Amino acid sequence: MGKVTDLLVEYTDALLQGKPIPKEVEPELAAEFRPLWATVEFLHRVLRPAPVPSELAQRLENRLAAEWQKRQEKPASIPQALRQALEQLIGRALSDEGFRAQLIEDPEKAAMGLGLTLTPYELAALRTMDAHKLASLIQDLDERISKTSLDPTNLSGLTDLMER
Amino acid sequence: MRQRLEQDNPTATSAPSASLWEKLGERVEEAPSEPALNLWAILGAKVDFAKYKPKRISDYELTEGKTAQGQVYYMLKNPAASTYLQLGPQELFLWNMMDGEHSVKDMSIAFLLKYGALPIDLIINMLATLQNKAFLEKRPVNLYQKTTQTLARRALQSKGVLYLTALKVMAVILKAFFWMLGGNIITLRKIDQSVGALYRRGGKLLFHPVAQVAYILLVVLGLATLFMPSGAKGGATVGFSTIAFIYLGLFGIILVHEGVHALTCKHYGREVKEAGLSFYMGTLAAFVDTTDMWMEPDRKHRMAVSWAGPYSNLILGAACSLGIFLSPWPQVNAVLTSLATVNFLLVFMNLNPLLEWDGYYMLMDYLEIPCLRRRSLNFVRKQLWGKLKARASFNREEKIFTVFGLLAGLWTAIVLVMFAIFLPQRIIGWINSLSWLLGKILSHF
Repeated sequence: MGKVTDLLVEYTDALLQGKPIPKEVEPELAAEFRPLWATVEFLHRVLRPAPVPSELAQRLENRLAAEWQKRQEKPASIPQALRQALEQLIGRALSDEGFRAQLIEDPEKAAMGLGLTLTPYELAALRTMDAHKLASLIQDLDERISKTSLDPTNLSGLTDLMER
Repeated sequence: MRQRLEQDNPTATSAPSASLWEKLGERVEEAPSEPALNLWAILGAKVDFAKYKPKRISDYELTEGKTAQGQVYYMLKNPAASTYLQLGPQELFLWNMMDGEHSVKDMSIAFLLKYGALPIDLIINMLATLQNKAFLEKRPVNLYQKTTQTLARRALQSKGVLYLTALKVMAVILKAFFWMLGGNIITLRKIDQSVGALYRRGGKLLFHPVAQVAYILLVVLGLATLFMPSGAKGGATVGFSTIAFIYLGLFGIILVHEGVHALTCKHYGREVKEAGLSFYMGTLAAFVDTTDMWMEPDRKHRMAVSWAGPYSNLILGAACSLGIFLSPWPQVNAVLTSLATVNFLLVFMNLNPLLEWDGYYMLMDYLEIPCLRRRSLNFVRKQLWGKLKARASFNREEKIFTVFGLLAGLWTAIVLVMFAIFLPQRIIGWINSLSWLLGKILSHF
């Protein structure tokens, strides 16, 4: 989720410094982080004309950090449009090994190959896919068979005894 | 088609109660049916992996464990099929979704949202493993594999009778060879209840702390007297009774060794799947199957089950050694010497981890790497040289695989060569022993 984090940081910085918010950032954040967005937008509207008091800036930062942490722990519900795009992409990836490799390598190109036009946010979400992140622990297990050799002539020296 | 139907039965269209052909004709003319009724849609859904809805078995057992490094894992058991599998938290997430309601696509998306990674390869491998181990209710048939096998069989059949016979003979020889490397001869399948009863009716006393102290004292005393002179005067005359006692003693040693494996398994509340007689690397061996110990989360308990066998031999060997020191009778000492030798040899043989004896299972549990042997040998065969050529770095597991794989491979090769060279001699030895025993028995009558 690096891209979204960057956007949030960018937005917070802009907000705190009283700079204009990049236009393309707003709808992307709004789509996914609606409750957070509402809070931030309200604060932005109220506070932007004046310098942000340091105490409030700290609280705002904390609020953003907490919200972000919560999102990391519990995945946000995915927007319907992105879900449909994902369904198409994953459906194809499940049946086409070449496409699967392409999706991991370059999701934008893979999506375009299917005729999907993804928003920057959707692409950012797809780019977070990491095929190498999986630490698979699925493991077949040995049969645990305890054995004792029954080769008495070899083990006990019986052959020697018999020859005596 | 409609026209043809009408020609066949010109009155059909007007009659309210139409014939089968008319009804079919009408259905053909109808708009495409709902996806659920459309044959092609149904077939499409059946062969579409993305729409496949795996359903896990309803009767399964799951335990949670943690490695020494704090990594959580889960052990899965199918009690009906006696199969086991280790899962990680990510696989458990997928396993919990396999309720027959979620498709592979649903699972992929849910996984992606939770872990931020595309699990397609993971799901494919997991489903194949679950299917092989009978953890899925409907086991999809691998149509392509079956077709390939049928074609291969037909191709072979076309080669002629002589060719086929030669192949069959070779297959029988190979089967016999592999049977001698690890096939079962006698298998007692319903032994768990008997072992459980034995444990409850006194077997549990073996695990009492007082008994544990007694074992340690016996081992210390026995080992201390190992190199002391015997109390007996004069040499022993080896006769039928001496040999018979040795044979009885050997039988007892084997029974104790395998029995304590089974009892320790029961001590930790797990099932003894089966016991019996088998071949292992060309050697006749008694065995007990304690695979159910995988469900025990504490690796020390698993190691205890494996250690119980060699430990019993150490105790018995020490007891024999003490007996030799105390006994004034040469005949008794001859028997005890043989049995002490067997016991101490069994301790070393079983603790050798390079073949699948008790020491191997202990090492595997200690390192917390299931299938250590197979994975090490695979690593050495498929990856080691590539990594060495590329001067790539090795992680912990790869270092273990390298050392263990090379040593186990070398040791196995030595054992196999010895097995092949000495097999005729061994068979002659068995025959000689048996004929000697039979001769002795007959001479008594």
